Amino acid sequence: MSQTDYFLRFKDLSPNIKDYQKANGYTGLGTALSLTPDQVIEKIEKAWLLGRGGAGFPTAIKWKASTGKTPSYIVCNADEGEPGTFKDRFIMTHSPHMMIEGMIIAAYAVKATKGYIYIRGEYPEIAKNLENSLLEAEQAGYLGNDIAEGFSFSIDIIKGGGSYVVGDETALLNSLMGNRGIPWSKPPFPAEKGLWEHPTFINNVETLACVSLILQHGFDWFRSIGTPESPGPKLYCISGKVKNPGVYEAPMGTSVKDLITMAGGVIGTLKAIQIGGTAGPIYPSEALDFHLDFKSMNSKGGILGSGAIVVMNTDTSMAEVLEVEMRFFAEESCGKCFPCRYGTRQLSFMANSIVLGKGKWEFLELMEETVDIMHGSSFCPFGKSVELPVKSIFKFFSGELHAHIRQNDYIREAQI
Amino acid sequence: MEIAKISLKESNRENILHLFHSMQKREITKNYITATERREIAQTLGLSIAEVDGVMSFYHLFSPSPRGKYVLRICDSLSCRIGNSLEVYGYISKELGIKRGETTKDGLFTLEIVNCLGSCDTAPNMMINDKLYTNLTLDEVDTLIINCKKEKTI
Repeated sequence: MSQTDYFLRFKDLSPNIKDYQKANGYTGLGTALSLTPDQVIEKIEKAWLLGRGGAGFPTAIKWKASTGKTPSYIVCNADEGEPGTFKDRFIMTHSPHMMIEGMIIAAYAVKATKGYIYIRGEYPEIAKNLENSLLEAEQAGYLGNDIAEGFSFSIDIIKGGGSYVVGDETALLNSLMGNRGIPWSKPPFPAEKGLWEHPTFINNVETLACVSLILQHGFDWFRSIGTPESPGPKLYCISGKVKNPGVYEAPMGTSVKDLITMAGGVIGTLKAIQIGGTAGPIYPSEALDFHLDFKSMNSKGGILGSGAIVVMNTDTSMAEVLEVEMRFFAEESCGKCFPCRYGTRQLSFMANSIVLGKGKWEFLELMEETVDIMHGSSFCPFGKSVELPVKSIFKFFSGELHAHIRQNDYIREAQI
Repeated sequence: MEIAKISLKESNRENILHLFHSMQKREITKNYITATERREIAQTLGLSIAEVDGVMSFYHLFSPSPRGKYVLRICDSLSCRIGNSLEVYGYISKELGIKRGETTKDGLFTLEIVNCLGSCDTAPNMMINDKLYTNLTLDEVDTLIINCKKEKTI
């Protein structure tokens, strides 16, 4: 069991620029500016940095689409809405400059002149502090005109209005441009036609922080941590029934068991673990042996997602879990496509009925059918992913749902 | 025009979220956007009122109808539910005599349930206007409500 502290060491430091500079901060930017943009992308490619927002797409491949056309934009996706995820809050609270440095390096690499931090509206205090951090970076000469010869870059903060779907990159761009935050079908990819039809590069907060680390410590260092396919350190968010919930940092590929041990162990008897956020499957205790990296989780039919781990013990009712999850999907569906708009409401209605003692046996079959249809015909990953939590609860905890419905039968009989 | 008081770099459409936030928080306890303000936004950005309303209605944080001085947003996603959010909701609902989406008759409180405030390790969580309260106990909820009534909390 090994822990790393490339992010966590900032926990006890102030978020101001001086503390960050003392801890090697902005030396990565210095290195980047001494290279050509293509060399910077090469370093990120050699480090094999995979996007930390959930999709795990290689950052360098995204950036390579840059043709140097102006204007082009860098967008930092700080719309951390995935239930169970609070790592970006951690980075932006404790080491905002790590993210800002990564953004400036990214801008230099893809020849962008303007950056946006799209932060969720539920983080007003963090947004206020970020304004201050940007001012510090500007005063130190890291932002503004002529940061290096022929390179100028500035960053604006956009506060979201409260929407889960906006975490999707194309939905985020629509929201940023002042539209309803609904996704569009790719292609065109944002790197070709993003904000106002110009090339736009979108990266998650943690990904950009990793960019700073790679330029500070070298790509060899980054590849020496984690697994060959998913290198580097990773922030994991552990919540639910563990003794010390919080953000933990460990190499990619760390086992669930080790992470839960880091968080002080389970309170009571372990029953279920959800990995990857609300759109991730819910596993029984066998998930303790899973290794958390993109490749290994995909091979298990699950997702690493944002690195969220929610631990449930025997006090947790799985019918209630199903209800909470389905209500989430119904309330957050953007409404653009019919299968998701209608399907999520149906699912929520049925799950809610089961919990309220009005569940019917045919609901179970109907719910499976609904998530299948949604998986096949929804417009974006949001509607497609509903099947993961539903099918996993049905697979591993169907006995509990059955008992719930059976009990409802008795209740109804007794009432008659 | 009131809108002139709000710092606006350009009258571009991308400022719409910023305008919604500023209008809604023109006073810290206002918590909604009036029809007049929506008309002002439409005029400033050169959009129709329907377009402005269409964008606004997409987002959970903005309200076109009056809400209480204190908007209580209780998180009820999985981690918070495991951490007893339902008990917090039930308690507040009973204390204030309102359900989800309702406002007390004195116009002081609006009760809302939201999906994730991004602080799952400190469940249960609640936001009162812009401020996040974590690891809530029912005693603390009591104190918060009393403070709001005395208008000590923002």
